[in-house]
Amino acid sequence: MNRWLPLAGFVVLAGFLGFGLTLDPREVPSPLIDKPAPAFTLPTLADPTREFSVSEAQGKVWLLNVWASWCTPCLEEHPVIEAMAKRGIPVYGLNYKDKASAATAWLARHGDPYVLSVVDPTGRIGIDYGVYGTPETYLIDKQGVIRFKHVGPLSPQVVERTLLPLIEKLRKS
Amino acid sequence: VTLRAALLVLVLFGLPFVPGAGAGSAFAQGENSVVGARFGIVEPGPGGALPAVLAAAAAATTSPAPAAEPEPAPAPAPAQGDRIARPTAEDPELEKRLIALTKELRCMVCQNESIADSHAPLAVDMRNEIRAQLREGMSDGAIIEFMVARYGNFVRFRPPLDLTTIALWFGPALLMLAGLFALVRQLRQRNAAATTGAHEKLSATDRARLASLARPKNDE
Repeated sequence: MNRWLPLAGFVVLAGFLGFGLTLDPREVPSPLIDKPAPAFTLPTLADPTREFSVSEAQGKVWLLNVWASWCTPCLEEHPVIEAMAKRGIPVYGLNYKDKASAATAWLARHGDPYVLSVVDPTGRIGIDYGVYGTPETYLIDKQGVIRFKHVGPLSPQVVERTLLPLIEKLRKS
Repeated sequence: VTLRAALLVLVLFGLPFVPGAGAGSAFAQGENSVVGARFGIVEPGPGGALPAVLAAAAAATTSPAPAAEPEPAPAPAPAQGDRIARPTAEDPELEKRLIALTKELRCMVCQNESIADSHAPLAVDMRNEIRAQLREGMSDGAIIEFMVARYGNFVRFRPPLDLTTIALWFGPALLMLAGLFALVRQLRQRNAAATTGAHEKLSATDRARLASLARPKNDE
């Protein structure tokens, strides 16, 4: 029996390591899930004199998408965001550490799926939301509580399997 | 007895280095300093192109804020001067606290670097945020709380002891104790076999044969 002990140890270790390979080390669970979305009042990209605050979206199930013109994965994600906007899901943009001129040009070139985008040029609001890599997407319910967060470009799979069912559920509640 | 004494010494010396703190922070920070040094040689100023490239390589699917980006926005007045976080001479006491705090916090972009070592734009932002908070008179504990509330316990190199981190804190010590136990048992068994057991296990014919072999040959 003792002879098999090293092999058993190896199998257990290999099992753990193998499981570790299936995990994404960049997926860090956000402590903000089920917490109220951090409040902010920021100027919008389209009209810097108009300000938007989180409380204005109260009563809606909406998405906050952190994007920037310098962010290549955001471009990759862009069609997915557009598809969601076409399905009637309000998507608000948080333009993160970007230049207003570059951001406006990016939207003009690739299309603007956002209800509106607010600008966070210093990334200070990004810290409040625990942003550490763009794009990031937050699903916020009618009471202004964050229900889901996705780091990295949204894939059609994540939208179909997770996001849309969750939005459906939150809209009914 | 000597063996036992040697093991005791080993355990006493070994344990302080083994538990979670060592596993979590010392190792990771050891790596950091290497990376940091490399940054230092190749790219002395923070915010150059190289850190951005490396950070981008680290993040295959998500992209960090561009380091090359000049800060476009008017930040609040005190933060404006040190968008690039350098130790400032104006308040060495504050800088000391800043360095101690930032060594405790993980850069979420590079993950194995502390925000004290990292040149990632997010680490620069976090350092500036912490510096502003220190100036406002926030305590170290409150600042750590602030970061944990936003980024989770993962942002700390020394996570608090709870059910999810218990294996991290005590796993290494337990593994070492188990290894020592196995080693001691193995050595004892071997010793026992070498001294007492061997002769008694021989059969009568074996013993007779051994005796005949051991007899000096010139007797014949």
